Amino acid sequence: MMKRLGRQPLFLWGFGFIVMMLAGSLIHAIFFDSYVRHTPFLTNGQGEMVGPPFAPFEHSILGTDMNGNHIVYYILKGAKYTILGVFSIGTLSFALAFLVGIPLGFKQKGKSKILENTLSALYFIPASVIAYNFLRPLLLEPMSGFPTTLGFRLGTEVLVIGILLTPPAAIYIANETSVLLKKEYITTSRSLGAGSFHLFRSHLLPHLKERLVTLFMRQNIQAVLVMSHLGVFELFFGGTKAEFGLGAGRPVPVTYEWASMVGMYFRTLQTNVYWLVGLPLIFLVLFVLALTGMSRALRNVLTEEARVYTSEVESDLQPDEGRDDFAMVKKTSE
Amino acid sequence: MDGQVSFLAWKSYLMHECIKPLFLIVGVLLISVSPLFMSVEGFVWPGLEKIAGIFGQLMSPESLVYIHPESGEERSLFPVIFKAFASSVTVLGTALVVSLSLALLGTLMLWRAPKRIYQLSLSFTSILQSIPDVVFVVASQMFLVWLYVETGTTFIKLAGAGEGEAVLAPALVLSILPTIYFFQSMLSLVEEEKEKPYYEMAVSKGLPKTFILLTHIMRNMLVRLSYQAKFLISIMVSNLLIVEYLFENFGMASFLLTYSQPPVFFVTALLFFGPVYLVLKIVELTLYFFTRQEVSL
Repeated sequence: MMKRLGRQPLFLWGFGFIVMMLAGSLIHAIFFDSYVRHTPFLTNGQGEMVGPPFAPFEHSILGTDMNGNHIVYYILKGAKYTILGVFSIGTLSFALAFLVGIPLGFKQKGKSKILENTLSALYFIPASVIAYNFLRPLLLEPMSGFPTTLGFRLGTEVLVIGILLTPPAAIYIANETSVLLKKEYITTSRSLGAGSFHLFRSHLLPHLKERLVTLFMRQNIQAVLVMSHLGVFELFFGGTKAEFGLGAGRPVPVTYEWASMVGMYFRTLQTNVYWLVGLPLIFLVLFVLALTGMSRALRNVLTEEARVYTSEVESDLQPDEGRDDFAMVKKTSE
Repeated sequence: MDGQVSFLAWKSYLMHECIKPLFLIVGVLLISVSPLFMSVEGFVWPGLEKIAGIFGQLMSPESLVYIHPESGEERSLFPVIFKAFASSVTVLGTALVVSLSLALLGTLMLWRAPKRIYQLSLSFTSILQSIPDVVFVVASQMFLVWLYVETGTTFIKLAGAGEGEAVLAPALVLSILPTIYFFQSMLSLVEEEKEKPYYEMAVSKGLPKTFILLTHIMRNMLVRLSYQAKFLISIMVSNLLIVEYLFENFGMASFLLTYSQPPVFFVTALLFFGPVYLVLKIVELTLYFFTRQEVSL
């Protein structure tokens, strides 16, 4: 399986991007203590002072913001929070959905209707709005500073968003399971004395595998979506540092995760300093594309494996697909 | 006999449909009360009086107020919220019409295109679908600002308040993502419909292909598209809130995000999502009458 995965260019690109960003960010944090370079002014050739913001490639590779902070360092600093945060939200919600969805699928319908109807409110009210209202007291810094640690805030946020993303995924798994359980071979297996666990392990899991992989990636993409919404609403992953009093600036993120940079710099858009918002957006898009690419490659590999497996089993029963028993030796040109 | 059975079926259907919104209301209530359980220091138990207080406030909706978070000024919620509602519905409706017609136009144009181009646009749109909606909104705002800087004129109003509120720009920006979704599902549905026997039959009868598309495929496709209505609406609503927030429109987003005290949130959510629910139900009933297939949206 790993070998096949290695041959999928989409997987390699996606995986490579994520690992590179993560490794770069961790090295930046461990060896350079998340240092952010700062250029308050430069002198041009005529000995005049030029102030920030500098465009990308002008002075620093990704440009600087209004105060001369180099964006590339912020991107590096935020990468680990973005990537690890998204993965932990995705994994948590996927695990919860799996643990709830499979037993729900085994159960006959009826009891779960009440729960399902109540939860359908989640279809109408977007998860990001619920997360915003629920997390706002925790994440907005009060005038006296945060009483909580960064780890606690991150953990709570992951937990809350993970739980919010669970219900649709759980209902999806439950539906898929109950569809599979209605198949004939399941009935046969049951009448031969198979228990639920046996059914789950040897009949459900092989069929669900492909869909579960896709679902896992979908949960991750959903997590990016919610995080980007919260970032735009200026409720940053890990907390929002607010300034108080007259002349206070815009709220500033604690972690510089990519979505929060979009929210932080959004108001500079009117001044045509496009790269401040554009760069974090590009990185977010790249991250999502990496996730979709990996998901596609995994799905390809899994279907390929299934095909190899069935053709090994049934090779003497069925002719290969796409090759007729009778084929023209010389094809007439069409 | 037969009539009685169908009458009973209708009765149980109606019962079911009447109970369902009640659960929805309970769900919305739970969501609007939930912020009480969170404080600066983490999860807390707010105490029963606080929750009971919210119910008390909800009992007399005409005296509800919304509070500006920074100035602390209180204003009465009730006539004002209808203005916000009208603004949101206008933006949402315009975006829906624009995106549906754009996607239909695109499908019509691609209908006779070579297979390669068709497949290419299918996979391109499915990649675009996974990109977060924030990206489209912010990118289009960047484009509008760039347009202004380059040409010096505003083609459409970017922002405003009160009477001069921008409607067209937010609606156009909001329609980007639904257009992609509609377009993608229309393309794949048309392709599926082409595989069906009735299409071959119609072709072999010698009917012109455009005629087949307009009369047969289009109808079947629209029916199947409306099965996805709930999903599409949920995408559009969450995108609408982003658009309203970023364009600083005075719409439902202001009440769901900025002025969201629990009672205000509850009233706003009901006022906004009630009609959405009703529209979905109407679509469901229409589908039932035309196709005799029960769908639950």
